[in-house]
Amino acid sequence: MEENWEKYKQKIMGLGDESFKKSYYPELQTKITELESVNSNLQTIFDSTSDGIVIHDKFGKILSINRKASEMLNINKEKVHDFSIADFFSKDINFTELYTIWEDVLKGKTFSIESAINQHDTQKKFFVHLAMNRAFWYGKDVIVAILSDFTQRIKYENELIIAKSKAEESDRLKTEFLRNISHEIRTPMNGIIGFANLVNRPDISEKDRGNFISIILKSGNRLMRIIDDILEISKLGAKQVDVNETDVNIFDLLTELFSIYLEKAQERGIELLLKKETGYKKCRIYTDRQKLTRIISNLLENAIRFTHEGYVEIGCGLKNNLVEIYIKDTGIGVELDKQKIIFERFSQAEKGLTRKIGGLGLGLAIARESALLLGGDIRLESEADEGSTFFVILPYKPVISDYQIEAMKQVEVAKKEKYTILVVEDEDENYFYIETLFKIKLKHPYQILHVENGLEAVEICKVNPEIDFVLMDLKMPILDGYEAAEKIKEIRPNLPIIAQSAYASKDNKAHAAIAGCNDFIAKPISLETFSKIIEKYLAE
Amino acid sequence: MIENYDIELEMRKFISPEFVFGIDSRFKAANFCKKLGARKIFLATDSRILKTFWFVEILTSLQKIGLEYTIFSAISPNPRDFEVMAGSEIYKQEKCNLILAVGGGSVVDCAKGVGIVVSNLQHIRNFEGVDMFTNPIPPMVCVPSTAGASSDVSQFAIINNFEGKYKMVLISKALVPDVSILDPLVLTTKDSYLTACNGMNALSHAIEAYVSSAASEFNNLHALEAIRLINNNFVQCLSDLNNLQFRAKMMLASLYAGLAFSNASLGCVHSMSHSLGGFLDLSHGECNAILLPHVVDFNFSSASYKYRKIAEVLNLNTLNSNDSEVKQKLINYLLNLKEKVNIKTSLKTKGVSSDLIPTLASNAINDPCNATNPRPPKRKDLETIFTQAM
Repeated sequence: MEENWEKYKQKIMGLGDESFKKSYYPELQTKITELESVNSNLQTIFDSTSDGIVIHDKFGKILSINRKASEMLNINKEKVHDFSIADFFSKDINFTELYTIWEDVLKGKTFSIESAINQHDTQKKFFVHLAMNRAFWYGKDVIVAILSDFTQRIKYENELIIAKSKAEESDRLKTEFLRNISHEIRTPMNGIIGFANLVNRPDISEKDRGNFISIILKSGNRLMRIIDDILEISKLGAKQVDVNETDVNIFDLLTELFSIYLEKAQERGIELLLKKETGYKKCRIYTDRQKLTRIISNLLENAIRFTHEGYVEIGCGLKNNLVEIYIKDTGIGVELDKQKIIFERFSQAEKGLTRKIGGLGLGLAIARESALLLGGDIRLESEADEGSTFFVILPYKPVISDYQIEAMKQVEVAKKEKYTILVVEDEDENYFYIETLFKIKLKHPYQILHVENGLEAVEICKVNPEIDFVLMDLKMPILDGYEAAEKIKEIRPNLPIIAQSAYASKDNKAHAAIAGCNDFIAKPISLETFSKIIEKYLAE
Repeated sequence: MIENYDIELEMRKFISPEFVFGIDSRFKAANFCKKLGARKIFLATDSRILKTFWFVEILTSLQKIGLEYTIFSAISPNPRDFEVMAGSEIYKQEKCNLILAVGGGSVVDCAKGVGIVVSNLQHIRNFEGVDMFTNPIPPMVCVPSTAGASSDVSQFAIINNFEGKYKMVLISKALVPDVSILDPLVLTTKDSYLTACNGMNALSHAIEAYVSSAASEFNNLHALEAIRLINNNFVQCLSDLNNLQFRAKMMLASLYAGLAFSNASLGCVHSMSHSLGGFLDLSHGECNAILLPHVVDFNFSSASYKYRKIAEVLNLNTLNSNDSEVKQKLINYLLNLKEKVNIKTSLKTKGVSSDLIPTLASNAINDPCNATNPRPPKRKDLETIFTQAM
């Protein structure tokens, strides 16, 4: 103590910094503590809000920002003083207008604007809703700006706009399609109904009648094609199309189509050429014959249709381990900007085209979607008025093993004086049609037994050993064709059973094969298919 | 007239509370409490004051303006630390927010102690020393009743450490009350012994502050005027206890002495008197009266020109006297005054035995009042002074 007197003396005289006269009271102290806690809570709220908050002095210099604003603007909280509000607006903003708003806010008005903001350094652009208010902060007039980021909203809006215009385009195409389809259906229907009315009149000559009937047939076929197209595209759309890959010789297929379309081309006065390219012999691959035929027919038909003079050339080759089939024409060509559209559904390069040339605008869409389904694609090289070349590209899956192997067992019908044929068919019309087909195609003496369901078929086979040949519908009441076939095969393993069904899917065929059917024909049965079956089993 | 002496140029400061002086100013107490934001007043006083008519008048004035209060009167002379703690409990229990101290030094010091504890929430013993607490005490209004202690204007609080048997000195600018209301009328209820002790206390304040090594010109002004007033009115006042002029002049003297010692602090009279009061629970004023002449003897050589000035103010003939003669005249004056005011005791008659002296000196040497004594004392010096005062 004795040594510290000087220190004590100084303290008592009270000139040190820590010496205080009572100038505030405990209650004030309590209030200060309360205010400090309120302030700290406010700071927490300030930093927790999902909106950015920026406090500026009246000249726009930034005084403080919250955590979100620090993220948004990419500036460190400690460095805010180096920045001003103007640093974050894009250069093209109207600064005069901003200045006016700023002045008004300083006068006490509340403003809220939407603007683009550039992030510091990264210059990443985003959109904010900017609400500005005047406030008083640590003894200064300040402007508090609250920034809500709606960049994401703008992105969604843009996506919606695109989606909307797509939907509208699609709607427009569908409306157009419906207009087309009614025109397309009406035309053959007029032919069918009109001439069907005329054909029975007694006052027309045999020659005219013959003409009328051929018009009716042509119109019917045309109608069938339209329906096929529509069904095909809807199946493609619903992804319900099965790919049925078999051994296909592409060159043979082209040759076949060439012979079919040759006449048509000649009618239109243009040349149709089939080109043999090197490697064509290798063009035996596994693919879906029916779909490929359809694709090429479609392209060929178009080529012939849109070519007024010159030639159409088809050919195939192997390139880069891909099979490339081309259909080249000297026709009207397709403008560059339309080259994509023509592969979309319900579209033709020119709207006016429909009236002149006809067609649903589905052909190319079906062709392309089918090609995609086969693992390939269709490519187009064309210039307006310079002709077009369509390339059908297919994966090269060469046939290596014995392509003769068939899933179905081959049986033969023993030669007889008179064949007994069992037709199992529940629909009268269909039976009548089959009966007619036999009448036309089978020259050998025969008799037909008709039953209407699977059970009857089994019963009759049990009791009648004379039956030589069965034509079995698959979908029937009581007992379906598959079970019936199975049961019949138990009794007569060597009796040929030919399944016939409107559902010619791979599954159905396989099912039929497992049930013991020896062949499968799709409904409606074409005369050609029927001939083949007759030739195979019942020919003399 | 040309000044023939130099003034103090070292930095000094002077603090004082707001104070009101005059007859019936006691009725102002309620208004000041209200102005300072009182919701509930902690009214500190003692059993003597409780019985006075003017205390009731103060209560009435509080009631009149609708101020709530709680009275705490369990305060003894030489107030004890446990009394402070008990008062603090009541303050907190009653949710008081302002202190009104009505009484002498004991009451005011105890109230200050309560203020420290309720703001700093620790035992009062933790705050012994200079500037030992951080939170200011609640608003505080004083109505002093003794014209001696002047704790109502000072930065001091003296609390008895009951177990340690010594007086703790607590000093802080934050202990200066907010308002002091000096009404001479309240002094008329004091008896002559108390009046004598108070007067001697005030005189020792004035003399110790004047010779203090922390003295300043403004302290000197107050200290000398206090000495002059006491010299002219003390004895007369004792012979006419109801004379308001004498009472008022003694009150003014006490106020001036208080302002002087609050800012300049004290010396060995007080360090030794605190030790005595703490150990033997003796009257502070009486102890001062006994010790003062002996401390003057000890200090004189270290501040002879100041003691000479005091002698001049006391109208002692110093013109042709050397220092030693002035010292003796001054000591004689003090001894004589003590007799005149009827304090005829010595330390021995107060029960101090010589074997206690080492303990008393040990306690006294730790007292902060030594810091400003003109002659820095050693423990041995204090022992000698105690022995002389026997």
